[in-house]
Amino acid sequence: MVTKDVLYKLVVFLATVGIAVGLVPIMTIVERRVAAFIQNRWGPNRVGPWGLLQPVADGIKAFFKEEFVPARADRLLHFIAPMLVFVPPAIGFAVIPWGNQIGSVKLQAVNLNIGVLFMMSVLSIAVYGLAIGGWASNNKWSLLGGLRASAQLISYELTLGLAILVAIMMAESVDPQVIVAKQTRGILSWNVFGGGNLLALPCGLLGILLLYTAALAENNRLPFDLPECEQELVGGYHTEYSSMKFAMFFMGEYVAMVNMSAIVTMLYLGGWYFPGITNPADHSWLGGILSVGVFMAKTFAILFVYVWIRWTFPRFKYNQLMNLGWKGLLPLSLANVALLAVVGVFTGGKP
Amino acid sequence: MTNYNIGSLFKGMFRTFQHLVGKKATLEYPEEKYIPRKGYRGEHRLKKDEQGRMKCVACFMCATACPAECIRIVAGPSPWPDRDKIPVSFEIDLLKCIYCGMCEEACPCDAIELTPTFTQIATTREEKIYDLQKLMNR
Amino acid sequence: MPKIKLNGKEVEVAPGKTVLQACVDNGAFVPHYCWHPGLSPAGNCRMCLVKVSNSRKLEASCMYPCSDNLEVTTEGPEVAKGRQDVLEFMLINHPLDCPICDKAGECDLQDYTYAYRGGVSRFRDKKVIKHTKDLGPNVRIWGSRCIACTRCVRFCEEVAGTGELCLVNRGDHSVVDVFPTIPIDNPVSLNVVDLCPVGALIDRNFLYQARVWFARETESVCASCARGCNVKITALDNRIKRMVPRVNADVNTWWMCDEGRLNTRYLADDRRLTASKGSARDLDAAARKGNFGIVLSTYQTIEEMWLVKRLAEAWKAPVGFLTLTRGERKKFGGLVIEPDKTPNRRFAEKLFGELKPVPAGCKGLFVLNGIPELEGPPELMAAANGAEFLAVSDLRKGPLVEKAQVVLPACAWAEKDGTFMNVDGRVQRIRKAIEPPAAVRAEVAWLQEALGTEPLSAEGVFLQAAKEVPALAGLDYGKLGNQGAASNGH
Ligand code: SF4
Ligand code: SF4
Ligand code: SF4
Ligand code: SF4
Repeated sequence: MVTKDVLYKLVVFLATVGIAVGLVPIMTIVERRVAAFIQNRWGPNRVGPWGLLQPVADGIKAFFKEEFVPARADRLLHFIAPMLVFVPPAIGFAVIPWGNQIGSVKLQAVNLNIGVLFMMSVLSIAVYGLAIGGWASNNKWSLLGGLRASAQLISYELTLGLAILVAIMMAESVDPQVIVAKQTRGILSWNVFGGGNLLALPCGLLGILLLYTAALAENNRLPFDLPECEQELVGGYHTEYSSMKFAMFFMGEYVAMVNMSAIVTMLYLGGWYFPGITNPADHSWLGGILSVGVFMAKTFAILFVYVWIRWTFPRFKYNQLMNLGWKGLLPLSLANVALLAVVGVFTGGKP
Repeated sequence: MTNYNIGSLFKGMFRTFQHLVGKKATLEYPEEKYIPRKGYRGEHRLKKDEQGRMKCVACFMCATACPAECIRIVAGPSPWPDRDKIPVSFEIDLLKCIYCGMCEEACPCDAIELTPTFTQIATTREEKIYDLQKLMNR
Repeated sequence: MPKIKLNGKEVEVAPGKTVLQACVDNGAFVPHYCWHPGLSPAGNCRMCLVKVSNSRKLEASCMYPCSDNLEVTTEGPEVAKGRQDVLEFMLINHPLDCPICDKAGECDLQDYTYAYRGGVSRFRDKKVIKHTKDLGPNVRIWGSRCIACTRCVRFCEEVAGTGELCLVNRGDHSVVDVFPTIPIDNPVSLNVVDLCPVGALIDRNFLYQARVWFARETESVCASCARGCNVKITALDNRIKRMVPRVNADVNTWWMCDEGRLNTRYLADDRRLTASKGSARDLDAAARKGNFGIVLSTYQTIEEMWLVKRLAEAWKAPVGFLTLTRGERKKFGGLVIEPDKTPNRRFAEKLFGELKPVPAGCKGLFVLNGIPELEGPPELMAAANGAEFLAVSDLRKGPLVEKAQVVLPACAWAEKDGTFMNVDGRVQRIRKAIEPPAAVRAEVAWLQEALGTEPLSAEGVFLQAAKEVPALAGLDYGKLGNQGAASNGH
């Protein structure tokens, strides 16, 4: 039944987009409340119950702001840049497996067997958005911000890739479905614990640490938020943006964050599997919904750590950032891959 | 070489987590009211004696002590036999005042005092210049 | 000439001088109340105690003659203890109500109490309360504050020569008073207020007007008569609150008269002229049409007179004068009150020769009248009525101002810089003590505008004048200082 399948796919696809965009406002309020709590404040709590409607108010405000384009800006690029930041991470959601099957329908918008590679390639497009945004504004500070962003993203992409490679090596596949499926054999089969091979445990732990650190840098999150900077750059690549275009940059960051958390969950934390709650063989509605719940819970835990880290650490200096990236994380991730390979060889070709 | 001290990172995160769940310092102002501690320095008033007359004798000590130079007094002869001098006009510019309490400290007659009233509402600058009447009736 | 050893230093003293005078002349500080250089010594306050070599106890230096080889010590624990004890006696009945005392801030008793006493009184009984009352139209006494130094009594006897004040009662009840029905009302009565070392005698006009530390003092010269007494103008909030004399041995010694002291009210008069009509250029244009006359008061400064002289030359205009003479010359000690009630007549005579009357029959007339109490004398009104064009600079509105086509409001003497030449030919500076009313400009400024020359300050104009007027040769503001200088050819 082609039509029925297409219908199911359409529902899953729309749900995915809904989740991708819908998580952003939730994240903004979570971010602000957590920040406030860490600083012994209450945060925004006046709009709606517990301040939950604050993102709506923010959105309305962003809509009604003046849309401003600097006089000598490149209007076309200035227009495109925010989309380039927002859209790729949203596309990346397509290959994320949100849950187990319901009946024969996999809870994944597109079942792509090179899903992880696809994800990496779309994610790396976002850097164009930042660089173009900085360039198109025709403002030297914005440009510097854009340059910083691209240098940082390119540097950390290496570590990111190598950390993802560790998970791929453990699963022996680049298909998200396979990667998750291999982690459903008990909690020790999660890649973070070595993917079923206890000797590979250090590789798994180091791998998730590296992946997470690189993810922070990829998303321009503190302590690596150097592209945005009031003191040195007036603002950053988005200095000359206002209204919804600025909101797009802003949302793009959050979408990328959610996306990255989903990737970490999928690659290292067993995806939708949690022993005792979800059962890979259970293809019922209840099992499906539970698996989505587990996936979301893990993603949110990771997102919370993002926020937590942001309000704990001071930022790096730019040279420290580059030092850490090139002299610290890159050799470490190379060593990690090599170590995993050695472990693999000694344990019969299969890590 | 940079010192990558991972342990202290986790220590820092533990500390912020403690704050995350800890007691909040914010006061939800219009619903919760702030009750100043004793001796809080808010708006001024001029005290009266048992007979309801002003205690101030227009000695200008407060104006002399005031570091913000916001007290302006005009002195005149007193209608009462027990003193020579009273203020004809007494103005404090509360926009200039820094609420240091030096005026209260300097007053030899215990006539001026800073009350715990800390909410002040005014729509013009002139309203913030308190005159003798306003200071006496507080 | 006896030689004494003052605090270990050998100094020579003129014969007949007392130890206190020797100390004052040689810069050794000795606190004192009753002694005043302008009055006879009385030796009753005992504050000036010093240690002298030929006496075992401390001696009152104001009555102690200098003898050869006398050793005098004005500091040290023994002397300080002496002063402290004297002060303690003085403060037995003194209320020390400095916060409401108008003398506070410039009171000798307050200063010495602060310096020598720890601020603790051992006196436990009731203080004697003495009268507070008006002694005359200008002077009020707070008897409780009086320390019975008798400076005021001696002044009235020795300088004023009227002797209204006397010390009544005895012991700690003694206090200054006047005789019944004879208030203190002589032309120099207010000097007792300056003389009083405490806040017992207070100027009724200054009462409660200002705490002196808030006020600004400007060294200037009184303009109310040709004597030119040196004064300090005390101003607060751009109002003159009082004037007190400065010491100048060549002009007024220590005193000044009440009339000059109180002649400041016209500055804040409601009839003060503040708006101008036309400009100095209009005046110049009208004057150049010919048959023009100038009327100048002898209240103008040297700078203004000199500028007017240059205008008169340019316009070929005759200059007539407004002067004011009243009463007769009176002498009070070193102070002579002149009948000429304008400050600068002497210079007008030096510059213009004999002073001519108001020119009659001119088609145009320019009147520069700075005399506060003179408003359109008949001969001036007649000349003004006959003129087609009238330009007036005056302090107050009046009939003349109403007629004028050009009105240039005048600055009072306390509102501008300049110089006066007093009756003895001494050139002295006046300084701006308060700001003139908003739209009023200094005469020097608009006179130069009329002349069409580079605008200079009063000092610059004086320098120019000094080059050309022989009487001012070699003088400048620096040389005049705050005591003035005798003019040339005097
Ligand atoms: S509180 Fe301080 S600043 Fe305010 S009036 Fe008093 S002395 Fe002046
Ligand atoms: S110090 Fe006290 S008595 Fe003196 S003027 Fe101020 S308020 Fe009045
Ligand atoms: S006379 Fe001097 S010491 Fe006495 S109350 Fe007045 S200021 Fe104070
Ligand atoms: S009134 Fe003043 S000057 Fe006169 S005796 Fe008393 S203290 Fe001395």
